[in-house]
Amino acid sequence: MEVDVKFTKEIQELGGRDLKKCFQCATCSVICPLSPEDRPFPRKEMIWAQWGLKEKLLNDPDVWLCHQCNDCSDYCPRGAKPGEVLAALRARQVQEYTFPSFLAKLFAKPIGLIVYFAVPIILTLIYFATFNPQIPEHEIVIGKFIPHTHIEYAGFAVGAWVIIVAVISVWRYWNYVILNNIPRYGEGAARSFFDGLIQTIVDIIYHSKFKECGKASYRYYAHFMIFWGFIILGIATIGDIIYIYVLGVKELALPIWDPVKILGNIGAFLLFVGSAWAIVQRLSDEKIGAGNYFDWLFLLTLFGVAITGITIELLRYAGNIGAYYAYIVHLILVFALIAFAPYTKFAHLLYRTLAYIWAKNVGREVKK
Amino acid sequence: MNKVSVYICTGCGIDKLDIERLKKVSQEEYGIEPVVHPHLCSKEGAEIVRNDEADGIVIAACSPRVKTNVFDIEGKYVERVNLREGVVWSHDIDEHAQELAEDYLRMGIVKAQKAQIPEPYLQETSKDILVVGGGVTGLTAALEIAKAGYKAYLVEKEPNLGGWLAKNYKALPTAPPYNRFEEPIVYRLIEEVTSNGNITVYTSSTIESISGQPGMFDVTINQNGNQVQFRVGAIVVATGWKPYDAKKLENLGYGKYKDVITNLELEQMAKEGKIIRPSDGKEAKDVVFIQCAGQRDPNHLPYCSSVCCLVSLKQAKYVRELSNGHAFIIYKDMRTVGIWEEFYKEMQQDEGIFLTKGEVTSIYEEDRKIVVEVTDTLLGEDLKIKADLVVLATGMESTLKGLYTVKEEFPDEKTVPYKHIYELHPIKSEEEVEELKKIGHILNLKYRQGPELPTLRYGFSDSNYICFPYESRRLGIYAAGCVRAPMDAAACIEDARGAVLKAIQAVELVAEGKTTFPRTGDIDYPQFFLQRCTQCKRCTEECPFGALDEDEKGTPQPNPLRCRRCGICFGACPERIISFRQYSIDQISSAIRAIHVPDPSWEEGAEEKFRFIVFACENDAYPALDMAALNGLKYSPLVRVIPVRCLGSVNTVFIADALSSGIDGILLLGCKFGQDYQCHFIRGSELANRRMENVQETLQRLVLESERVKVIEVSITDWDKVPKIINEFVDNVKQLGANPYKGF
Repeated sequence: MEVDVKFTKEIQELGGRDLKKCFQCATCSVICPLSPEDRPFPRKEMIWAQWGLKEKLLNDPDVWLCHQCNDCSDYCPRGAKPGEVLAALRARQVQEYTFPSFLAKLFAKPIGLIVYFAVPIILTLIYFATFNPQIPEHEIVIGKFIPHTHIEYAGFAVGAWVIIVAVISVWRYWNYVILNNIPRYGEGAARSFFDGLIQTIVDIIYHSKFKECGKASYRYYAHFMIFWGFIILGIATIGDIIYIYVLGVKELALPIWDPVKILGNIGAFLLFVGSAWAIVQRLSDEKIGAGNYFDWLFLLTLFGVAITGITIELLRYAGNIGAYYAYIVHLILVFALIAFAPYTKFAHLLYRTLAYIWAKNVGREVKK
Repeated sequence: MNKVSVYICTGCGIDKLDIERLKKVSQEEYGIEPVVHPHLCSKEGAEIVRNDEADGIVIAACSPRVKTNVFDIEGKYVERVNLREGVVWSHDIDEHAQELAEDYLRMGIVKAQKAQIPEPYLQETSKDILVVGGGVTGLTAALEIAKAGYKAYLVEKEPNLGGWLAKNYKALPTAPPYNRFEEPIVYRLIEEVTSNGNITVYTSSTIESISGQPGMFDVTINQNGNQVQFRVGAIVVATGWKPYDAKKLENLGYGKYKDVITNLELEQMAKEGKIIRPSDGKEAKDVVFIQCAGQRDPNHLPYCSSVCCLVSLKQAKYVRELSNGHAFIIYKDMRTVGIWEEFYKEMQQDEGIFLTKGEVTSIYEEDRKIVVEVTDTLLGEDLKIKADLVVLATGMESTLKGLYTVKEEFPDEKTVPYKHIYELHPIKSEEEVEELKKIGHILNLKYRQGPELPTLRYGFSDSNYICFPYESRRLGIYAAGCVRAPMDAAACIEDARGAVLKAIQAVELVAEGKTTFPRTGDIDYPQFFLQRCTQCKRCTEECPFGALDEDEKGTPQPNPLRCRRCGICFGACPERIISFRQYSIDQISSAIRAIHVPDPSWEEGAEEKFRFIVFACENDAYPALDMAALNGLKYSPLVRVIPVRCLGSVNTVFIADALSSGIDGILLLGCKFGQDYQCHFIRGSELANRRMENVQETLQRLVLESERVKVIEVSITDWDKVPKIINEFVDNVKQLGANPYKGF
């Protein structure tokens, strides 16, 4: 039994500032709509955090079952904000398992913003120095400023990097967190891994866990929009690729009635509204807390991507040269979003999904 | 009384009775012309009553518990006949109710006739107050006494004032934000006390004896061999607590391992500047606090000492401050009551203080550290903490615990008379009693009943006196602070103020010959006709307040200013030589005999007209009856309620008188007795219960059924059940048949 005061301080700095206020009344665990009855969360995480029990917390998959609906923080009689504490713990786990750890640790703190923007900016400057793209006169055609092929190559490179990092991180996470918890929690439903996977995907599609939110019920709608907006944008991007490589379209300055364009706009609209709504709502309740830096970095980047994307389109249709500049900003933000995805909150994509597959396999869900 | 007037009010529904018949009772049976008024408590009605020249006034109207500001007249005896709550509000208006009203009037007139005007017992009394104990409670008490304009004597057995708080390193914060410790308040109090001209301080002093009675307590103290004497009017006992003997906690390692200490020992270490391991003198970094050590445990102290959680939080901060170490607090509950919750919240914020609920399973030494194994924790697993130092949060015992306090608890006859005492003190041998008698005392009262304040549960002083906190079983002596219950310094200060207010009330009242709770202001004290005393010692033993001393022969020596006027002595006396001027054997017996019992040989329908008497104590039972009436509940009109001060004042002669008058059944309603007693005179209802058990023998000799006399405990909140209790009793006795002695 070793207490790690440094670890407690780390969690406090990552957003769990008030964790020492908890006095273990268990109201949070009772009210949490997603917590199973056996060894529920977030109560135990609160006292483990108070005692600085680093090993236990870094090996705890329960922190990913939480969707931060914040009912716990709303009901907490002491204002200990368990919702924020679990968010801090998630950030801390990402730091621990994502490879290499030092990058994750860097991006978890505001100082990391320097690197977050410096890398894409420097890369952009290198590109400009190397390829010297020219802003076309008399027309707004993005592809003539920076060729789409360059974007594709950059995309593949970043994508490959992200996939490698993700595989290594997931491997670590799976071994330390998931496998460590099978004998300990195992009881209840023993389905197959595949079955658990399908159920998880269905849950994600319907956002059924988000529906359980009490206080922060907006999250169901906001996240739904962000998630599906992003996917639709991805589909639109695939549409673009089909246009270029299958249908031989030369230029992607598509008119507004183009089906792919329409899809893209729907996606952009959903992403924009969803992230704006999340931003506004997060700031609206002091008792629950506004969330930590780790969360905001991702959310603001998403919002930035959406708004710059919409700006480019509006400026292009208006014939304004500012579209090109907006494009540069947009690219920088998109780079940061994707390249650093495994180190930011974006990583929840994998960690939470895996945690739910695990939970369904060991029967660690709320019994309906 | 020389002259008795009768007033009948017909307001509040009383006019539903046949007033003419009522008037006839007064006119023809007692020769008194009654005055009938429709609204006697009005300004006009009250004028008439006030201007009456008679010295005995019977007011047949509402309950004696109401309109006292209108009908209590100085210098006159006022008998309130309860026709409102007692008749019209609690019964259907029929022939039975009419007869009931007439009987009540008869009883009232007779009682007024037999009453006398009392003279107060006036003596040269002192209004000075003695405070025993110079800790925070005693110091506060002495200051409050002086600030109120009285003189205080402060007696402390140690050479220095300040008590336990002066031994503390720091004191708990008393103001927001509750995270800054303070200097113990006692230092300021000591300065104020020693510089106050109205307080005389005797340190290194013990009390050799206190004799006398409130207002005239003659105190002899011994200061370093010198005797000092003075007289006081009241006493505040603030001698505080002593720690539970930790040597009994071997299972927690105390005595076995040097590095297991008590919270007191840690406080001392902190005061000396460093927290070290006693075994090797090194600094203690990891300190484990074990709460409820030897407390909330039937094998040690069965109660909680209320401050140890606060103390451990405070001492955990010492560990952080002095050793920069880690403090682990293992608790059963975190009891930081009231505003102390804010302090708990502040202490929780410290990064080096770790709290969990848990049960300590074992403590042993390993590699020079003390290992504490804890199960049932909040962390979801058992803990094994390696500590440099283990601090046991041991508890408080009253300084009265273990002293020979009251003779009746260990009487020479080897029988302990009262349930609430024998439930706690198993009978000891005479030798053990003699040993106990030799242990030094606090007050050394020269009372026949024993040298100390009586104790109750757990050895704390009996200031249980339900509705009347601070009152003890010794009038004029008030317990405050930890001697009566474990409490923190802030509570001690408040407690001291409360006790001082009571002490001041006492000295002022006894100066006018009046008594305090529950019959505050009563000047009528019991008179003893000692020529017929047979020295049976019942009154001296049964008086709950030790008001009666004895001479060598056993003759009672009354101390009227110790008396609370309950009348238990007069209930006890088999020779019936004790009476009050306004409340006497003759008065009640005459009232019983004034009840008209229909004689079956003469009166038609007399077989149906059973007659019952209910003795109802004025503290709980009588108010319950009033409240039942206020709520519209009805009970049998065959019962005649006689209010008594306490069931203990019901003399067995009343039972004999009642039965020989032809009363069919007698019910005694009074407060609960036993360990959690509610009897406002401590043991009155228990005594009544015991006496009525003895009466069963007499009943059997008279070939009467034992069910005719019953004692039932009620509390004021049972007003909804009382009518049912009475009716059940009436029905049971009716089944037995009429009293065969009717008409004899």
